[in-house]
Amino acid sequence: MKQLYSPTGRPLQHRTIFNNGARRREFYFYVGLIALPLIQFVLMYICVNFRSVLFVFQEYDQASSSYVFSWGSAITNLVDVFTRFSTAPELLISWKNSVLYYVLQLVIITPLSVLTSFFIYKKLPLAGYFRIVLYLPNIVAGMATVLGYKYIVEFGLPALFPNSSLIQDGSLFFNPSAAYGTLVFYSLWTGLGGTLIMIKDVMSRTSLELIEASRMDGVNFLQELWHIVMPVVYPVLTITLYTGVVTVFTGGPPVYMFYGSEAFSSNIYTIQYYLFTLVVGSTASDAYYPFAATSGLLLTLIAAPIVFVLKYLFEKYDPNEDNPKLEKRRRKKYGLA
Amino acid sequence: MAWLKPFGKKTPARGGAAALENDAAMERDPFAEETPEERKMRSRKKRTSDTVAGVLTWIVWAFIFLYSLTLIFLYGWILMTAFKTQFAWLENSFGWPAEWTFDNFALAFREMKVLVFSGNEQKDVFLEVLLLNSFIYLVGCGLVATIAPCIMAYATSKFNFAFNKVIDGIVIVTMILPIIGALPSEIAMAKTLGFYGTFWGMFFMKFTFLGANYLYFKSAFRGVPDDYAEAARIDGASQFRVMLQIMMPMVSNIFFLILLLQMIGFWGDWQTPMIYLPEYPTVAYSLYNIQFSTEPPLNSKPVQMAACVLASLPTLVVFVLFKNKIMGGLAFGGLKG
Repeated sequence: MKQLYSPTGRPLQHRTIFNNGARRREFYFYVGLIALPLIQFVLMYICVNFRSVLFVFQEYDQASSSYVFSWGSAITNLVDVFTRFSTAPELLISWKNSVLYYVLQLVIITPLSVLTSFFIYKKLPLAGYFRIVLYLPNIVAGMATVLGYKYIVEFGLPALFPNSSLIQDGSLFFNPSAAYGTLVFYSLWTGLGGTLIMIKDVMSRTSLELIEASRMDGVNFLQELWHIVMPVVYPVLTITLYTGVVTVFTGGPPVYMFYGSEAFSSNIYTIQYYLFTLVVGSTASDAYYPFAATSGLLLTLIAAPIVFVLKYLFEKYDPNEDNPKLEKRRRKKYGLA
Repeated sequence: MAWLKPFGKKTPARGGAAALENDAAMERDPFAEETPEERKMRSRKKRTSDTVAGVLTWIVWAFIFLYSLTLIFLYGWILMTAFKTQFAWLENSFGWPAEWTFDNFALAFREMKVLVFSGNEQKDVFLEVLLLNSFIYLVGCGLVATIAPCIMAYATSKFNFAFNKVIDGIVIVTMILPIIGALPSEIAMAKTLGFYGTFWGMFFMKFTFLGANYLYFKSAFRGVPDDYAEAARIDGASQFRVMLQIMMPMVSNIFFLILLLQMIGFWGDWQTPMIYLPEYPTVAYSLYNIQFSTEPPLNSKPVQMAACVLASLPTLVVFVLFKNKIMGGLAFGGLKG
């Protein structure tokens, strides 16, 4: 800590809670402010995750309806998780479905969100209309959108295509080979508006001078998006991309909203749905808690390095001028280092 | 404007990745005379690239326009179905209703119910109680979920203590990497601590400062100058008074917006009450439940659609009233971890 001096040259003491009453009062107030949220954090985050670890070492005893701790349970639970995740058909399908959903979100929704936000930001024709209509699924009760879509698919499509082989038991929702696609389509269809406001808001931080200068140089619409606006959006966009990796395990189309806990086929399972139905709904049981908690922890261990590697890479290739790594690379390239 | 290339063979770029590419082109003498052939070639290339960009832009615009029409169709269809008689629905689920009826709304209002199991008893919970539960849930949870990040951000941005860095770190790390599959432990902890099945427990669980709202508030508080607060302190105002009467009014806009968005979210949240408040079902949960209903009149699709319209009305009214505030978005900086 840097030593400060008074105008007379006398060394000044730093204000600490031990030598200054005002600082002490500040500290008491500070503690008062953060105490309750911190207690909540300790109970509902630290203790919850500690409980998850504890579940790894527990098994459910049906006779006493309680969890029994033993070191051996950890091996049993871990072996159970590895076996099921690598051999159980419904979990193999879940892997495929969850990754597919994440990739589709990444290649369809993310670029479209950026483009739409840019159109709104640039105030292209009907920008105000897009802004509101595309955000509607976030405003209207979620279940209303689900029910509307469900009944259009169940009653509308069979009426339009009565002889289609895709429609089984009167609906796409009950065709094992088409149901998951139908759910994914729903998520993609209604998911565009989710990040619209945030991205548009970030875009509006682009320097106006820069845009003016680029226009004078004859930059066209898409070049402006790619070269001027994208570097501004880049940090926020990449954060959503690497934090989104976790959604492979925690996200997916809303299977539970459409089918409840008893989906008609394992073809529509995602990892999130599989773990969720072990804990919630008619298929749930207290006995499944250790398995679900162990799976969650192991999946976190898989996701963590991927997230941090992506974070590192995205930051390394950040095209913004304030990125020190970029400057370093340039210097290295031109032999200035 | 070093990044602007004089002859524009490649688009001028602000960002580093593109600038890096351009740097190679910069190696030629920027003041060298451009030959007529070069000028002609450059002009032709630019025309072509502008035309391609223009066509692409309008293709994407047309796609987004069509997409927005499909959303309007969905919500229009829900609205139209809500005014149809059951007979008209069975006859033609997509046709315009021959006779417009409000009966579905009356039926939905009167018959909307959820079967609740309380100990060994079971009872029907009707709309008035569903509304009351929803109101308590969204107001209580909305308030605590807004206040927690707000006071935490105030503490860390207005008081200089070393622990601030720990809090910032906690928020960033938990945002980047949420623990997967914590639901079983969360339920187990809620049951152990007596939070399960009570509104007070639910409020405590939602009193969390983790998440993006903390960063929004932090950014807002950082933008508020300390001068007024200092002046008030010199006049003898307590820390609490400074926070409540000087600082909070300065971020009231962002506080109100986050509260509004939280409340909209909690109004549509059917899953949390289903898991943690099984004896206090909400309107959103009743909408989820209605799709599996087999007894008349709730199994009638027009009645279900009427219920959807009714449940969407509050959020739509809020959206219309505060459209500009909501669509204005939230601005924050310093998200990079």
